[in-house]
Amino acid sequence: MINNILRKIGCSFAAVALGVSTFLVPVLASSHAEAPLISMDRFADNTDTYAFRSVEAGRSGFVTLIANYIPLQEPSAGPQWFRWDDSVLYEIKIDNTGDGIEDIKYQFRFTTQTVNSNTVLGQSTVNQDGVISNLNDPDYNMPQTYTVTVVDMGSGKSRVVASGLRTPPANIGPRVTPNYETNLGQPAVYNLRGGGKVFAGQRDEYFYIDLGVFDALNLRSIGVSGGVDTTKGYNVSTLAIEVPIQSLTRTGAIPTGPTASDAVIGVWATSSRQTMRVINADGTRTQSGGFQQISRLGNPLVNELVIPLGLKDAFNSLSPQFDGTIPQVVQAVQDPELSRLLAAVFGITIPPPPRNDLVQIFGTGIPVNSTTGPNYTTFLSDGVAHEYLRLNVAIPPTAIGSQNRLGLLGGDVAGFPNGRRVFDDVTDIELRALAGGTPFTPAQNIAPNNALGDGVSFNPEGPLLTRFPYLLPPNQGNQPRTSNQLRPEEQENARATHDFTKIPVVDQNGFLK
Amino acid sequence: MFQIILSKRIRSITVVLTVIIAAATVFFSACSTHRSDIETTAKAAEILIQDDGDAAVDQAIALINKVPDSAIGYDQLAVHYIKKARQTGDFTLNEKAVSAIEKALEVAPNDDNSRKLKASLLLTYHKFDEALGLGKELNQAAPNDAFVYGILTDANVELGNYDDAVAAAQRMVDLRPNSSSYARVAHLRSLHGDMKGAVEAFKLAARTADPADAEAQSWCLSQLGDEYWKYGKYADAGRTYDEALTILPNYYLALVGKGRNLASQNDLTAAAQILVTATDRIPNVEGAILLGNIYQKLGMNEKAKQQYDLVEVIEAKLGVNNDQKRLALLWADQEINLEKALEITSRESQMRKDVLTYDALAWTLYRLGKFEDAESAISAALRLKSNDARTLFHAGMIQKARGKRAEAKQSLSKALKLNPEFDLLQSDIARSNLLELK
Repeated sequence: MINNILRKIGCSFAAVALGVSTFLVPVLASSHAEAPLISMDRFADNTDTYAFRSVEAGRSGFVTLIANYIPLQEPSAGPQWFRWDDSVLYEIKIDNTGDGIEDIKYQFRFTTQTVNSNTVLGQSTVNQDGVISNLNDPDYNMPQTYTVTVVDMGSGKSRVVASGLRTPPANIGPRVTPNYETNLGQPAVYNLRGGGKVFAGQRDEYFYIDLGVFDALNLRSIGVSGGVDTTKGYNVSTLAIEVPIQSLTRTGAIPTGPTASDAVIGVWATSSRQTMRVINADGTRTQSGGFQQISRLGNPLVNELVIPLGLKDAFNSLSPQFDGTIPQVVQAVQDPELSRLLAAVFGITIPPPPRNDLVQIFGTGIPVNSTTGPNYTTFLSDGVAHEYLRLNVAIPPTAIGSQNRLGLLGGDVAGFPNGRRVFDDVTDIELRALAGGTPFTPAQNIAPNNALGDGVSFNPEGPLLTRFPYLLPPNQGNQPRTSNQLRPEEQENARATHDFTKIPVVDQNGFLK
Repeated sequence: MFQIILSKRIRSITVVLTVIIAAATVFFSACSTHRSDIETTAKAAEILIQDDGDAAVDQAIALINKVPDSAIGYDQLAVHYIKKARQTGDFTLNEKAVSAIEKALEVAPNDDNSRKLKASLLLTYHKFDEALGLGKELNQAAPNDAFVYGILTDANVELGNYDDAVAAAQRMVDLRPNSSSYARVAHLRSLHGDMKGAVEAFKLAARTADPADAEAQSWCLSQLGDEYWKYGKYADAGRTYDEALTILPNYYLALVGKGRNLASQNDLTAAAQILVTATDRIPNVEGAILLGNIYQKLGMNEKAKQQYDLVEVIEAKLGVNNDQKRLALLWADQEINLEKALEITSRESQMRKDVLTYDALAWTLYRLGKFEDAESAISAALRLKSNDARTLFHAGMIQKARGKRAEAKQSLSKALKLNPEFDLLQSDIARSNLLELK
């Protein structure tokens, strides 16, 4: 025994002796007190936020708000699978006055129950027949329920609009969760009083992107095809809520038109965890304290591409109210590092700083102007930049078959940056915007600036649902994720759905012809 | 269980994914998630770490080759080895992390991520002063970076600057309440004798740890187990260690905790079995001492001596930079090598003023009959009112030697009330001395 141990130590140190390092003395530390420092907080991590006028038949009077959390969920991540975190406060926030302070917020809190704790199987177990055939099935061993609270910040009133709603289990596989969408997905869409709907559960990660595009801008393609969807086959946790238009506006009414003062709303999602006092000065003991925001997401990719590293923790804990007051944030938007990199790597000319075009897109909204025409604006600001999505609720939605993935750049005024639809190709749009390839900076609205892309222009898992919550059912877990490359049938499916091979041709205003 | 299944699944896609994820870390993490770059690097490394083969490292090296002037590939390698060292308990893996960070700082001397990882490694190697210095520099440059407050908390705890540690942990948890900051709050509460608060925070830390990071979850649970054990709640402790071992089977910290806990319940055979497994997996001082104590208690003196010798061998290999006070305490308990023991604790107390160092100093001074010095050292060890039974036992013995019978009685009864079986051999001594005082 002891020889065995000594041999091990000997081996270890022989290995160390061969090491090349010098700045620290090699040791086998005997005490190991440090808590993990390099750790993720996946459950509280926002991935994407969407806000758009509902496109489902008969829902034209509604807005759909979607906040996705918990990135890159492996479908076969059993037996616990991914779940909402009971200790996180998930919120979708609306500013309808332009001061960066939320006027309305939708709060989601989850509670996990355990039917049978005497099992290692976790989310599903054989309490009955081992098949989860409905949301109340006893084999759904760790169901989660949730409460939706609407807070009207003006009056300070909180209203619980739904409680005890069940989330669907993960899509474990055809044996445990057969007919997933019919049995579990769709039944988890609940009607709200006042005509809205709500859903909280796992869905397919629709957001499509080739992350290779950010490999030091080592682009596989700078067009609309040829890339690989990195997020293919992963799932994400979705909060979706559909509410009447008038419940979001400043006036409480449906705006008379796109330029009406109450037409634009700001939307972002956050997550918060309870902070705590380490030690009270007076020696008393306090347990957990108030909620502290730790993650926020309004416009896609801003946090990743624009906010400097040392500022990320602060930015994630910040209310949009203060965005414009932090010089580094303002500077990062006015002169983004990525734009300069694009210029360096591709030898293209980018608009000189300060980039007020980007400040408008991300921070103040786009005012009515000659480029976008008299009936288009996303402007919502008290004169200071506040970073969040801006949705003009008076601009009617584009029918599903006629939507353009490039949104405004593709001549589709109902798409990003007017809110954000799940369908919108925000990576291509933002790459072009950062390169100045938009009508707002005419001198740079030329190829390749206005044709940049990551080569992924659709979600290979298929088109969106035509009904709330729009996102596809989660990928099932009884087989591992396969390659990110498209299978032939997926190629076909994609071709049939979206003409992604077509390089967009822009008119003099930069809009898709 | 969850981890095992996950890792099997992930392994099959590792090759495809690592290239992409690694590439993504240049600017942002997958799927528009947005944490600091260290966490992004961690995410990539987590996928790497699922694969035990060299292919994982090859992927990071491929990234280094692709962007040789960037620290990113090196940082990723470092994170990979740091996490793997934690997971396996094989601390020599940290050496590879150090080497990666050295290289990172060679190609990009001002890379913030690399410097943060360096600070973290300095802590691992018990270079607390240097870690604190670097932490302060990083903090000045980025005063809102929660990771850096973690560095400052840890360094100050180890150096005994508890007010600074509390302030840093408070900033950390206010900026980013999450598993990492909860765990630090928990540790500080424990040091301040707030069991209820520590248990609450350790539980929260375990529950909020990344589900893909088994070691992080198990570490928190092991600490929670230790906290229960500290207060003699052996049943709660046992359940908690088992939970940790379900998440990360054979995790040596949980094994050592479980062994200690079983010994406290006088289940010496089971305790020995587990501790043999633990020390066989990775030689460690705590496990060897516990095993030695069990053998000694069973009258197997030769085997006990082997274990105690092993402690010395490990410590000798580790060198003077490591914290050797556990060895000094062992010698003091055994009443051997007392001058050498005092040398260790004196040297240690020159470098750091934490309560455990003062405790070890006090106990070695006591054994050499230097009761007055021992008394002043033990009062420094008690300054946080940590409710550590061993420290209270030492205090009682020192007070008794100083003729302070009432105080001694109080200290010894408190120690035995808190954790009746805090040490297989020493708690009997505590009891007999308490009897003498009655």
